[in-house]
Amino acid sequence: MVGVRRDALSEAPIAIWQGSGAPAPLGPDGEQALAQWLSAGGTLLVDAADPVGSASRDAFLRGAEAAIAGALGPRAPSLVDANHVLYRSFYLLRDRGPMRPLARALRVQGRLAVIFSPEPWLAALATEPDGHFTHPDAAASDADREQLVRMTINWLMYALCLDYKDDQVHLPFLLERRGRP
Amino acid sequence: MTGWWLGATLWCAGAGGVALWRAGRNRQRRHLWRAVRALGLMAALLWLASDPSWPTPVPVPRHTVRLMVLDDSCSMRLPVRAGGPSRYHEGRAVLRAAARLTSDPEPRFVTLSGAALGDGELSAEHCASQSRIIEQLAALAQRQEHPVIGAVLVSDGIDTAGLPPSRQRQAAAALGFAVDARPIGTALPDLRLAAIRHGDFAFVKTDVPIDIDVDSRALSPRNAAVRLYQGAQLMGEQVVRLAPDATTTVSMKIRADTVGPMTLLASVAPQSEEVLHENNTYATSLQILRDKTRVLHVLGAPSVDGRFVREALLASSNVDLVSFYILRTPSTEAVVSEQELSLIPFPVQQLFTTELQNFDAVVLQDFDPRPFGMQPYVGHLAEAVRQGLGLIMVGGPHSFADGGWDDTPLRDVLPVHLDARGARALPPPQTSPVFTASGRWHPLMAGLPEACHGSAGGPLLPVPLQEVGPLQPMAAALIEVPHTGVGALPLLAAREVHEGRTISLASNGSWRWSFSPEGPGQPFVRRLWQNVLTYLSRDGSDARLSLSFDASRLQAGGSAAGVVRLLGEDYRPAAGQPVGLRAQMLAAPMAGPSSALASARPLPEQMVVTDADGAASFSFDAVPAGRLRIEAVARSGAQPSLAHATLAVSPSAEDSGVTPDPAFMNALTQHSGERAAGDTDAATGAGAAAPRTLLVARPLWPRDWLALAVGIALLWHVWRSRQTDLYGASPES
Repeated sequence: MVGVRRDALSEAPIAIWQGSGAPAPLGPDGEQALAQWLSAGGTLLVDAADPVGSASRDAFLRGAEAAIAGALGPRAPSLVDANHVLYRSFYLLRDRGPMRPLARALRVQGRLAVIFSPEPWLAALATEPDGHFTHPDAAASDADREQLVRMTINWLMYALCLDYKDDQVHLPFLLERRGRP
Repeated sequence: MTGWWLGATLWCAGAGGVALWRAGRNRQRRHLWRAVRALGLMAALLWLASDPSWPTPVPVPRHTVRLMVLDDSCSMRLPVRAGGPSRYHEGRAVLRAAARLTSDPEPRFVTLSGAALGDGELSAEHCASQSRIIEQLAALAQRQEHPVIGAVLVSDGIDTAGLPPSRQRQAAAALGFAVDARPIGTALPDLRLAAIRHGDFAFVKTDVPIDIDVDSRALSPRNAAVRLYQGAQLMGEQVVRLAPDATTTVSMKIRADTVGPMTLLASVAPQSEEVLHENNTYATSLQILRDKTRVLHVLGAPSVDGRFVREALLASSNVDLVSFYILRTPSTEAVVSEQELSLIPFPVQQLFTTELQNFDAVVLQDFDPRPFGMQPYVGHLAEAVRQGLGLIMVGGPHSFADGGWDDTPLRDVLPVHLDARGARALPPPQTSPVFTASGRWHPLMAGLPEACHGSAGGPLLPVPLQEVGPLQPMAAALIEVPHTGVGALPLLAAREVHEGRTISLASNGSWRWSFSPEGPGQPFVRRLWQNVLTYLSRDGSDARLSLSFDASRLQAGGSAAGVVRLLGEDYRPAAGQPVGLRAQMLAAPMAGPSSALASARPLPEQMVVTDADGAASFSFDAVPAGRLRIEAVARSGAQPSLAHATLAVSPSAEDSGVTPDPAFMNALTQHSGERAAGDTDAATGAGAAAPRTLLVARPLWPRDWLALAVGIALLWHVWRSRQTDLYGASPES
């Protein structure tokens, strides 16, 4: 259990809130610090470590949503459209490979400031010192795990480059690739 | 009476003389002389008894003043009618005729400007280019030593005060004395450019709508060419049908190719019947803005700093941003198919050769050119900078010398040296940057120091530093990090390189200033990048010598006043430096023949000296209508600096006053003196003013003295009679 500290947040514009089970409330100071951090440009990934469908995963996500609503005001995260740059900030995820569930997000100043991962993205990446996966059941297969890794990288690229891949200069190349089998 | 007695005495004396001359010798003459003397004595006694006096001029205190005022504004130089004398000349005759109708024997003749009314013509040099008639009448009255009880004003009624009728009535009523306002002049044949209408600004390379109003007065219907110039370049021309005594609007569209102030001059072809050609042109100015600042942003690797720079660049709505972020270098081993990635080629050759001319500024951030084979094109980039391209290099592991730029021609155009790698230690990581003295006036820093340490933001936070060398020539450090014993590290520096400008930001941590709640905040960083783009694209004023004006729009007769500021090579204020200023009217491209108001008023050159802030005030007064170019020349270090600005001076009504305004004069007559106390009949002079001097009959001989003189004369006569009786002879014998 980690509290929200203003000084710690000010050093990191990208943060991941990972957990299992219902999180502890942030408290008024934590909510205020989180709101200020998000407004200043912070990007947060809320990633439940538990498998999809588990009760502890649902409890964590509900608790995180409530805490963030306390900071940003009562609003529900919305699905990130399939055409959003999040899915092509590095890998072309919606155009190639198996379709993954859409992420949900809260926007601040037009930017996806808080993203709720629909699957345990980071759990799929976590490895032990001996090379074994920490959460073997986080992905059903190696291909499935690869997709989760790519989604995590895309989120990181989005956090660092924002909508760079929406620039007009990219359009002809991406359209060409989408048109190919 | 006095003259009569004097004549009688002279007559007696003359008659006596004639009688003496005609009398015989000796005895007859003596008798006659006595008779004459007796007669003379009697006449003198009678004269003295009549209380004689002599006319003597005696100053008498004046208690009231009556003014006879002639408008001496420039429109009064126009003929009163076609081929006739000037309004001024005719007006003076009217005024003198009016003076004869008043009972005031000594009315005061003055011009509206307050000078004594002379007999000469009104010259171009001495006519007033502004007329605020009611204001000037009030000022005239205040200058009199006694209350003004009335005034006769002769004027064409052209008034540049611009008061609405209701205010005119109020002002006239408040004058406190009656004004007999007598209009003079008739409408003259004339074409006049009344106005050019446009927005305050327009965007470069886009169509700018311009509406030009042309007034036609006392002319038959005709076609006339209306032209619009920028400098000597014809921007548009239309031949329009001008209806008589009407205003015709001509609409044109122009396109500006350069950013900055744009001075336009509209002109309508002079007609042979016109008496005035100065109003056939009209100058105006508008600001041409860059609709889009085209920026190339090359980021060597995804980074937090890169993301914040992107946000800051896109925060301005007029930035056309083309970005290339290096997400994977050519040497990175490909583990997935290109088709699964969103990567696009980085067109180095195309970008840094043919496409470079399409950008106003280039941002190289944490970018190493070597993996991309860019070295052959760096020379082209450096040359483009010298020819006007703006360039900023932002720090990071692949910037400056760490990115191999020290071996490229770009090292010669950056603000800092790159060949000192490892020569000195970096300042301690927790050292806070500070603004330099050079940064106070540098255009790149406009508004930034105020954004720090104020209520809106905190101080500059320490940031990771990139090792760079000392400043290049003609470069200035604007933010630096102090380092004891080694000298400050120029964190933010700027430099002018021929036609271009460059900036170095030796850190990849400026995002902290925006992100951290303890820092100056997002507005500071966005303002910084806005300033960066403005500076690099040369949209701002000259860096070292600049002119600013109190008003951007002037009217003829007004003052072109402002401040000239001079900075030294290091951008610090250059105090105590002389700055030469020269103003000249630019010639109209389509000048008409010399006309009634034609005049050439030279504007004297000025020399001002800068104060401690490097600033000096100047003012060119009584500027004529047209395009006014003001140049400033000074020395900034070893280099001479030149700054210039062109102002549009719109004509005043005095410069284009071919049509008198009798309505104004009638209103003045009707409403003036409504609040006056007592009789203030301006024309007839009821309750006339006393003259300034009077001829007073001053007594020559007080009555007491007369009685004494008569007594003495009688005693003397008695004594002489007794002497004659005793000796039987008079003393004369």
